[in-house]
Amino acid sequence: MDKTWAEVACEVPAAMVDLLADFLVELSGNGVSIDNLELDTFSLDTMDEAPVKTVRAYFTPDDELEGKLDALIRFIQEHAPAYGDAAPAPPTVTTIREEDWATGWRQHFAPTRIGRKLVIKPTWEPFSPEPGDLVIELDPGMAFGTGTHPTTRLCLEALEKLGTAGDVLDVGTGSGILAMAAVKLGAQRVVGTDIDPDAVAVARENCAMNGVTAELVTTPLADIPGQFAVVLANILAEDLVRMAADLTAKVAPGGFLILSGILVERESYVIDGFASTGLTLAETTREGEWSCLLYRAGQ
Amino acid sequence: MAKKITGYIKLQIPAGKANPSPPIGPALGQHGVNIMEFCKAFNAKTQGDEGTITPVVITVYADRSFSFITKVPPMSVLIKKAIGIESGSSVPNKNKVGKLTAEQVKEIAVKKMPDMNAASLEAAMRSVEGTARSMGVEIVQ
Repeated sequence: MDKTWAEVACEVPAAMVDLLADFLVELSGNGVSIDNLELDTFSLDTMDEAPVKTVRAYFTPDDELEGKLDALIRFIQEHAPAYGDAAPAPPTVTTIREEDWATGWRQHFAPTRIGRKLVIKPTWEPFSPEPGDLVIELDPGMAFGTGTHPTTRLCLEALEKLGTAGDVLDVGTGSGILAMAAVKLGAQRVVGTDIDPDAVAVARENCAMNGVTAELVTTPLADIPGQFAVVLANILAEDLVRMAADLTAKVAPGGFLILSGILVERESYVIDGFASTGLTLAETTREGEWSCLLYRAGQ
Repeated sequence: MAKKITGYIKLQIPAGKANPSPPIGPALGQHGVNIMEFCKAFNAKTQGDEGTITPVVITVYADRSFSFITKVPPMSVLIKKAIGIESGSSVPNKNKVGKLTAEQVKEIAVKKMPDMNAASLEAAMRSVEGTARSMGVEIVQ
């Protein structure tokens, strides 16, 4: 993928930043960047606010860009004088390539051991596995789940501890990391679902690369047939509670539900949300500010 | 122990909807920050307010770890939300797009005070009124 963006940078008085940012958000349908500084310090307290700031917005480089730039120039010329800038500089346009930032941070991503047997290895890193190691090669692409995030790690550890002899359902599969781990750990049938088709596409690529067979779909949770020995959901507290009934319905008798993506401060909110499901809270694990809940269904 | 700070990034992005596209991707990628990790954490913190443009200040440390704080949305965003309009007027002197009551002005000023350098609530309220007028929003008593 070699997508490009037009980065439009405008230098304006600091007091005008909010007004311009608001205009640019509407114009681009996207967020803006206001400061991006390289520093070498131990404290931000002494940092002075610059009198002039550069606001950056990002546009798809299509036919409409020129018209949008004209509107932007008119807006700046109209408003800047009121903020003490009588002759504002015109915005500058730079073409940037998605791959430049999408891959740049990768150099900081190393093979990571999780639990006893699982190793998450970036595709571009060499690694010599020890006997019994279950290695997952992962190119996280544009979907969530690099395996290094505590929420993913807590899920993987729970999954490894349970042992997955039966069927596994991974809700919000992202990069497919949990689905792949379930297959590697011995699950029979693994289904991964995500509302984001891009994530499912990436998850499929990752499975193919690892020689792993999993059903990856965008099917809504309620429409997925069957029940599963283990249901995994590494999403966010609010989504988990919203989906409590549907998640519970997918757990086979005596099966397990692993809930992750929960900030410790939201733990009781999720426990309350699952109180009426009939599931029993079997274990709570935490790492940093994240919490993972393991529920068990009655026989 | 204090950690060495190597980067300072300020963005305004929709709450609950962070993804690796610009402006987040290029800004964080430049500092070697795990873009996905930020997106997930930001979305977790701002869920419930989806879509509202939210300022976020990200501090990047020498070990590529980061912390961030979210701030109160910009005044213009709060004004638009208060009176239920999508955008301000392109000709604020002529075309009025809505009305803001003195009470709403005060509510917004109180909400925004922590992020402002305003000396008093009155000063903050005057600032809200100024922003409203520049958007073509009238103030009614």
